[in-house]
Amino acid sequence: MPDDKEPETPTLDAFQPLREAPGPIRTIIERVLTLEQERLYQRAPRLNDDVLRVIKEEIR
Amino acid sequence: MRLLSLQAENFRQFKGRTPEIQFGAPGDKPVTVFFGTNGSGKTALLNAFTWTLYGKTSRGFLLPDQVVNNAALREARPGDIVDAWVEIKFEHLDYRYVVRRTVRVRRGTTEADVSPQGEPVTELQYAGPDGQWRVEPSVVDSIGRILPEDLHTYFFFDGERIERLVQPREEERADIANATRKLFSLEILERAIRHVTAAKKTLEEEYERIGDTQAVQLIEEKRKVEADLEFARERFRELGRNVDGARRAEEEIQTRLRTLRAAKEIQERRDALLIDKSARTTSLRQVTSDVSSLISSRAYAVFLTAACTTYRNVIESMRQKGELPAGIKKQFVEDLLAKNRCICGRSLGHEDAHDARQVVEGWRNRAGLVDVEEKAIRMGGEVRQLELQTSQFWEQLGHFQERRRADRQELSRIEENLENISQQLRQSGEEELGKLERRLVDTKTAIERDLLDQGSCNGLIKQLQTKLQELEGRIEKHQATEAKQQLALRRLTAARDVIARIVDSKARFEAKFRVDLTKRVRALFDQISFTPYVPEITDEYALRLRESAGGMPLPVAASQGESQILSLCFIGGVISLAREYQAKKERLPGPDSSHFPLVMDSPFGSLGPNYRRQVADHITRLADQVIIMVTNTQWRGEVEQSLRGRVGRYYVLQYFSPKNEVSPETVELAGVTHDLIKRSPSEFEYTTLSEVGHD
Repeated sequence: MPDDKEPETPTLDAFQPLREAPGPIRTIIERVLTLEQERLYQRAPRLNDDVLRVIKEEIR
Repeated sequence: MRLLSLQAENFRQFKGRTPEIQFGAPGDKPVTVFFGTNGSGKTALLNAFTWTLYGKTSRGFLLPDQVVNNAALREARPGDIVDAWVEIKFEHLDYRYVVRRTVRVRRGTTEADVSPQGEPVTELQYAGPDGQWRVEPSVVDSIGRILPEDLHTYFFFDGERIERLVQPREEERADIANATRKLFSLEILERAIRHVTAAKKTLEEEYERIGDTQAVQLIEEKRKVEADLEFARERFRELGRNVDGARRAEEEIQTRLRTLRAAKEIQERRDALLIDKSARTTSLRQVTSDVSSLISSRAYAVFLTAACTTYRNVIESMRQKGELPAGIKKQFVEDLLAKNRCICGRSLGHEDAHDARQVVEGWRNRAGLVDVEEKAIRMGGEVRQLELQTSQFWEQLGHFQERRRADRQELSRIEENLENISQQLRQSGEEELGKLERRLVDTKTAIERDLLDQGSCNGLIKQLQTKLQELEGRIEKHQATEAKQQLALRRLTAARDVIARIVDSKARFEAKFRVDLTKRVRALFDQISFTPYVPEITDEYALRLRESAGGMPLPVAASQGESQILSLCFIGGVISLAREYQAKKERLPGPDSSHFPLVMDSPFGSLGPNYRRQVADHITRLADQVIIMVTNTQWRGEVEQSLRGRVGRYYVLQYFSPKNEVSPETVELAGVTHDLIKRSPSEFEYTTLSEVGHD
């Protein structure tokens, strides 16, 4: 191995901000990410309205 | 995605239908090897995957109208339709899929004269755990969900061009970065941030739209009306108290007058008149109420006089025409006509009885008026009742009017007498008497004025109450608006929170992922390469080699071989890291797969023996399934040794050359020699494909 410094893996838990979100916020995040996953194959999916609907449904 | 098999017909070099090519399964023998000489169709095979799944082929590989095999076109007659297709079977999660892409052409007079018959068509079918096959109408969407198109760079690649990953063209750079971000869900996080930010903007607009200052103004106005109302009510109560006091004073004065000897007799007369006045007032009130009741319950009859007259005229007119009374039953006439005999005995059936029959039929029409007659009789009774009611109404109203007139007259007389008495008392010679009476008149005037004021005060109260009610309604609506505004604010806050959390997570994940990937690529490169170079992944996910010098890494111009190694290490690193994250569940929603295939065309092309061994050994261990296309020379030696024992299937691409003299090229497997080149029986080149064994 060359004498380059080996990069150090950050110890912060990447998903902590999502996991520790309060109930409705977490639900919104999960639903939005699932929507994005379903449309990942599209180059520019139009999800603005769907995302807005998710927020409105979860925050009443 | 786990690849099961591939079959092709008339696709490029493959004339006719190939056997169904089964691929080595993940496990002990995940490798499938295709042997072929240059030009025998190894790249065509790689392109068979990308053409079928994504409609894409390698740069400069073929034009859409060159898909169909030339020998097949040669053998077809002019005007014949020739199909070329590729069918791939694969598994993903618990589903099996069959995807087939077909292109159809018509042969002209020569084999070079080919006209495409529409665009290529892709069909996708899938079967779930129940084993039933279903057609999937959204082919692109479905395949895109299983293995997004821009990720195919990593899973299906041309080894001879693989250095592009290290030395990408300008337009390819973003594609590579995007594919990497997509595979590790970073793209999902970025898109989520973008879409939630757009939603947040809409929520901000909604919040601003809902908010206004009108509610405050209305509440202020309501307070003012409430104060005015309270003031008016207090004034009303005050006037009431004044009236009560004045009435008590009036009573006292009258009592005092009764006690004065000079006024006693007059006061007694006045008391009697007041009793009469009260009785007459009550009577007048009663008769006025009676008139109202009479009008509301009976007066409608007066307005029906014209309708009654019309009715009589209609009936009279019908009588004059002889239509009423009808006097004959319809059924009776029907019977006569049915029997063809008139009541007079005359036959109605003969030809010369035409006129007589018409007369009898005329009676049938008149008989139809029996219904009208019945209704006319019933209505006649009702009309008479209405007319009687009208005359009774007028009579009773006259009686009430007479009573009202009499009451008014009597009241007027009483008032006049009372005024005379008052005047008499005021002008009395006795000072006290006059004084008392003047006070009494003043008191009455005061009562009358206060009562009038009370009336207008009451009007004002009613007006203010209506206004208050209306204001309360409007305020209620605004309070609802206020609730809406609060809701909009909560949504806005939620959107901001969502964005902040995803941005934070993305930053953390990206930092970790970049370090993990760099480590993985470095480790692989260190195992394979004997150079002192160090791979590095830039912020844009571009791959660089650096040479360590004095502790400061510097960019190096990598050779083609080094670039190829580096690219293979990058692909290996990406795939192994994706598998690891998947296994640890250390991931967000993203391309969901536990199997990653690796289809490589000539991955050892320009590498030296050491590198071939290392690549064959290390890279092929990273994917679940490996499909490689090699020439005999690429295979022999190091690669063969490295992969020994791990190959599930061997296939040979046998190339038929139209040239008379061809140098023999063979591959030996398990002691059996297979020809890779043969003489074509026609002037066309083509390739056949056959399985030749497994480890």
